[in-house]
Amino acid sequence: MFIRIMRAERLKLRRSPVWLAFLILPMFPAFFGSVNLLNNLGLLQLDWTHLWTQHSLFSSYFFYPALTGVYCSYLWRLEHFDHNWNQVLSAPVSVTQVFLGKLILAALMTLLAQAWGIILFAIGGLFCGIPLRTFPPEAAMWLLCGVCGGAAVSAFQLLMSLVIRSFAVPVGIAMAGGVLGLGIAAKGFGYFFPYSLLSMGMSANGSDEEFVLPLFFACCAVFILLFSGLAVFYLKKHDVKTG
Amino acid sequence: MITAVRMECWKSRRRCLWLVCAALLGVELLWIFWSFHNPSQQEREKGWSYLLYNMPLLNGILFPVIGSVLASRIADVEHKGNTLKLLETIQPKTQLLHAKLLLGAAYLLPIAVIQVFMLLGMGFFYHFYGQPALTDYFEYAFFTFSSCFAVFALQLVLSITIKNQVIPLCIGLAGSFAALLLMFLPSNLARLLFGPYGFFGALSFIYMSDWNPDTRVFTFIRTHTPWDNYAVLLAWVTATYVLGHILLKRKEL
Repeated sequence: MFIRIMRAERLKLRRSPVWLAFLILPMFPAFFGSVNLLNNLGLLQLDWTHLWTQHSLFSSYFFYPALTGVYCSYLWRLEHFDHNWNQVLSAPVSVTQVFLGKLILAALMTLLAQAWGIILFAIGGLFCGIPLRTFPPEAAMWLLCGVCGGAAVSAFQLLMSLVIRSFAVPVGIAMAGGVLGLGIAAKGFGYFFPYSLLSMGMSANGSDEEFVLPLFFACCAVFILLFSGLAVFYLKKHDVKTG
Repeated sequence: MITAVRMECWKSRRRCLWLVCAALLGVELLWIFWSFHNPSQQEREKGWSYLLYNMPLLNGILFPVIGSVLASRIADVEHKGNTLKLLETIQPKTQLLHAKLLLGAAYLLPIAVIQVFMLLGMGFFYHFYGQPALTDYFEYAFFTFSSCFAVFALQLVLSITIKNQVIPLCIGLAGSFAALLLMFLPSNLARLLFGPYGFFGALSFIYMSDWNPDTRVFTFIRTHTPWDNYAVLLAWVTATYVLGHILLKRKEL
């Protein structure tokens, strides 16, 4: 049944232009990060680590959260239309599976976006003249942690987009969350805020000294379970609004 | 026209549009608190200029997305209810556009005014030295409102002509990137030519100068008020309005 749900979700996204955003938007911080590194060589060193801080700083705090917000809103868009909620809830599938299907899709899209970000990072490094043989193996970890943080953000955004019927408002919440995540991470409470987890996972501040990997994964798992649980509870207990 | 604006107000009732604006101001307030929570001697000395230097950057990053959210909230009521068809029988399409633009402006003007009061309050709270240049703050409010309105107008035209709201929101997101990128580019021409998104930087009149990376000492320069850039912004707003007018008129309902 779950495979059929995933197939249905894929069908809903068919011919949707949303993937274009994931393809085009990460090019901006990649370009901006590379140019910024070259313009500030007095302060920054021409190496992969410094280039990554420039690439990930703005994207992890401002743009990945908003992009995830757009995608999660899009995933619930069809359900919020007309009387579609009646059909979804009368279908012989559990609401847990419906939510999980969307969460997996959102996490998958985060993985693709982050992988594309790493490819752009490599291209940016070559553009700056950094030798490819020194490409950091930690990039795989940045990718993995970024996806885990992204999945936590996706779970929260899916909950927001489920509760708020508007397409746009959750995107605004995501943008605000990203900015707040910057302040909360700077205060040392980053593990307790999903948007900070995304930037911490991507190692956006360039410092891994205080980064505790098991705690990070545990927090991501807790947030994913918490928000998924809340969403399923909402779907089970709350009457739907249609039309 | 007054009836049309009143109708827009009714349509936006309980849609919590003010909450979107409040979220922008709230995030900006938190950002400034975080930036100035422990101001140094230098920050206190140059604080009044520092605020005017920092805020366009923050507006540039945040407003294109917030503006697209606001525009989408105002426009999608017509898509959801499929009301454009009905409205055309009783109201010219352009009047609808005018009313929505006016409603947006009614939300944007308080943003600019409250932002200035917020900045002044922050300056007094942190005991910045000297008195604020009120003319500069007044001009800042005027330019902030104008830049925000230009972005909002473009987003509204996109949101009302494109039914799938993911497209205008992604364009708004790209606008945030563009605004940030353009602010750091040395070319003023690029800021003027890249749609309304570059004007958060192009209408800024406080620049940092003589920054010493070792001592972290810097000065701020107050350049002439960029009325020439403002004229280009007006041209963009006019172009957006004409585009919206044409697109809405040709839109198949």
